[in-house]
Order: sequence, then structure tokens, then C-alpha cells
Amino acid sequence: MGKETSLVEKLELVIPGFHGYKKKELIREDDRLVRGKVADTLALARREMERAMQRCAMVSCAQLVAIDNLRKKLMALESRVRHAEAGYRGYFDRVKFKEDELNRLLEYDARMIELAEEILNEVKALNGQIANPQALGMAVLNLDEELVNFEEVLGKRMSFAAGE
Amino acid sequence: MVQVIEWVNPGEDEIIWRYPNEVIKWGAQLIVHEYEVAVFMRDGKIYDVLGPGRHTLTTQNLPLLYRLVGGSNSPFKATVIFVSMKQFQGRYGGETQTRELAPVKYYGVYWFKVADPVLFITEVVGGQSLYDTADVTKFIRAYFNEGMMKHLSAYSIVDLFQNLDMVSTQVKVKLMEDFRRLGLELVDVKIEGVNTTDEWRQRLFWIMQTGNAQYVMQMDTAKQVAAELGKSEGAAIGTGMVVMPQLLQQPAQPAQPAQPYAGGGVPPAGYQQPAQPGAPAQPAGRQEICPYCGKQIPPGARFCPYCGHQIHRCPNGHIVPEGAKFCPVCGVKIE
Ligand SMILES: [Zn+2]
Ligand SMILES: [Zn+2]
Repeated sequence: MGKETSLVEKLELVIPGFHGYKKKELIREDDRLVRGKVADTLALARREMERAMQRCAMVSCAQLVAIDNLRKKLMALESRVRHAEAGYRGYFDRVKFKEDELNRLLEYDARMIELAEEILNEVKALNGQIANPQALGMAVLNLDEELVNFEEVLGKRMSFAAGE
Repeated sequence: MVQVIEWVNPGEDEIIWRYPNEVIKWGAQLIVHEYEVAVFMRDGKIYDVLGPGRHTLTTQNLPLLYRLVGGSNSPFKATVIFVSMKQFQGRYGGETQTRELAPVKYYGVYWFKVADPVLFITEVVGGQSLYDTADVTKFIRAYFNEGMMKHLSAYSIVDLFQNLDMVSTQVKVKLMEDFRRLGLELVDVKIEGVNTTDEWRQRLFWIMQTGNAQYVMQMDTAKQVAAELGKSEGAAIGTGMVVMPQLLQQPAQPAQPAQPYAGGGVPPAGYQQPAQPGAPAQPAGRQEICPYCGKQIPPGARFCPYCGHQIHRCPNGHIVPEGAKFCPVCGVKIE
């Protein structure tokens, strides 16, 4: 039992129904499940973000416009994950993955889920700092960084899945 | 022949589409494209909802309708409404009044999408009996405009013209809430322009020049303000346009409207605009001219109080033409 198995197990824990791309006819379904899980986490973060904006608007905090920009970034990412673009298809039509390929895919998946959770936590932290300008500024910067990280991993997974 | 239920080639602005045949056969093929949802309704009530995919309609994927028709396998009656989950753009424009009842015209663009198709159908389509995309679009636009008018009227004219970014983001937050109740997600709102009457533009000019909204608001007309100020400071009074160097030398202090306009309406928390960290103070006495209408504007203004145009600036505060990549004055790159 190698690294691959433990990654699958880890993913199975957070994604009900996930098969680890092991069954040919379920590969696409597995991909959909992973993306669905990630997109749902980002959606939670977006809702939390909107709550933060409401509170921010109420106290007229100076970061409102910046927070709104992050919200838009987050929305774009959520939509990209949920509705994988055309060209994303090719790879998942393949019959079977080689072991190292499979491992890489699983690593991307695990990392995406991890980063989505981190984004959610950052947004929660941000929401808790609305009344504290200095900490809020830091929270905005941290979240921005997390979004950039996520975008990078997503981009890699997408080009990997497109067979590039 | 197998019945095929599909929204073929939705138009760019089409939010919903109703399948024209209300008699559905079991075994029919339902094709739901990516970014679509198919909602089954009967007598104004929503039963089953199916997402993207190619579905053969069976008793299993339409359990609620099946129960309704009493478990029979004969064709049944239902309205199938397709909802597009894509992002749409709408334009808006209207007139409202500011807190001090200054007439204001505004226009811009907004983007939205359906977030909760069931809520959307319940609130908008079913609730308003709008089965036609054009009607739905009209309803949303009217709803948006109403909200815009209502929310904008809580602000002072100085806020509107000087802090438009902030105001529009605050208004957006409020509209987002309004939209959510319809099952819609308001993605973004952009205010492209605001304008007011000549009289109010002049008044605004004086408020920004003097930083004393209360004083200006006490006068009946902007002309009177000019005359009064002219008297006390001995400034030259031209045809409608008054230049008063003493007053221009001190930076405008717009963030004081809270007191004079207090009472009535919900104040947007009378925010003190932070002392614009990025924008260095203008050299004393230097006059700035609006590149769009040629009138003199307050130093550092972000909007022309006369024509309402946004004033673009380089990081060093110089006025730059719209779309410029470099500042013509200092050569600094502009994002
Ligand atoms: Zn102008
Ligand atoms: Zn410059």
C-alpha cells in the first residue's frame, strides 16, 4: 500500500462516492465529484465573503472595494472549477491511467481541496476582522495570496487533465 | 417517436424557456445542457428539478410528479421550464434624489445570474406569472432600478460625486441582498456615470471648494453662494464662474456632510474618507482643468463636478487621458 492508496483514502473521506479514478466508466464521475466538492467549498467562502461585505458596508470600512474585488476573483474560480471548460475533457475519456499519472492527479485533487479549505478559513478570519483596520488589511492580503495559490494549482490540474 | 425535450439554441439574453408541449410521456428524452437546469412544474408548484445531462424520464428521476399522477404510466401534464445558469448583463439608468433632494441621473451596467433556480422560479416566474424571457428580463431590470433608486437616495451629493467607487460598492452590497431573495446572484454593478442639474453642479462645486456643506446648503442658489463668498473674500466674480485662490489653496474637505444632512433617511454611516494615502497633496494654488468640459475642478477631484466625468490620475496625482498607458507629465506607468 503506497502513497497512492493513502491519497485515495484521504479523498474518499472528504468526497462521498469517490472511486479514485479506478473504474473506467466512473472516471468522469469521479472528476465531477472532486470538482463539485471544491466548488462547494469555494461557494461557502463566497457566501462568507458577502457577509463580510455587508458588515464592512455597515461600518464603512475602507477595505470594502478590495474585498469586493476578492469576491469577484473567488466567483470566477468557483465557476471555472464547477463548469470545467472545454478541452478539459480529453484526459478523462482515456481508458486507464498509468500509476504515476494517477498519483499526480490525486495529488492535484488533494491540494485543490486543501487550498479551498484554506480559502474558506481565510475568509472567516477576514470576516472576524472587519472592525480592525490593520488586521483586516493583512487578512485581505492573505486571502489574495491564497487565491493566487489556488489558481495556480487549478491551472496545473486543468492543463494536466487536458493531456498537455 | 420518442419525445425530446430540449432547449435548442438559447438566445444570448434568454434566462428561461418554457417547453411548449405540456403533455409529457414517460420515456421522453430530456436534454439539459451545461449551465442549464430543467424544472418541472404543475399548477404553479415545483415538483422535480433535473440538472445537466441527457435524461430518460422515468418514475425514478421524477419521483414527485410520479406520485402526483397516482403512479400511472400514462402521459402526464407538466410545465417544463429551462433556466439558464449563465451570467447575464443588464443596463440600467434612472433618476433619483440624493439625501438633500438634489436630482441625480445615473446609468451603468450590472451582471447577474441565477443562483437558486427553484427560488427564482418561485419568486419571479411563478410568483409573477412570467413565462416569457422578455417579461422576466423586464421584471429584473425594473426591480434592479427600483433598488438602485432607493439605495442611492440615502447618500449625499458629495458622496455620490466624490466617492462614487465606495458608494457604488455599498449600494451593490445592498442590491446583492435584494437579488438573493429572488434566487439571483448579483455578480457586479458598475456605475458608469452620474449627473445632476447645473444648479446642483455649482452648489457641489462650492461644497467641495469650501468644505462647508452646511454653509452652502443654507443659500437658496449657487449664485448666491458665489456672491456671498465673493463679498467676504473680495474675489473676482465672473459670469457664473468664480475663482477664489484663498479657498482653493486649502484642500477640499468633502467628508463632512454628516451633520448638515443628518436626520431623515439612513445615513451611510457618515464615513470619514481616509486621507487618501496614495494621493499626494496638490501643489498649493495650482488649478486643474477638467479634460472633458474644460472647467476648473477642485484639486485632486476624482470626478468633475460639472460634467460628472471620472478624472483619471497617475500614481503621482497628475490628470491623465482615459486609456493612457503612461502619464504624460511624469512618465509613470499606469495600470
Ligand atoms: Zn468636466
Ligand atoms: Zn504623473
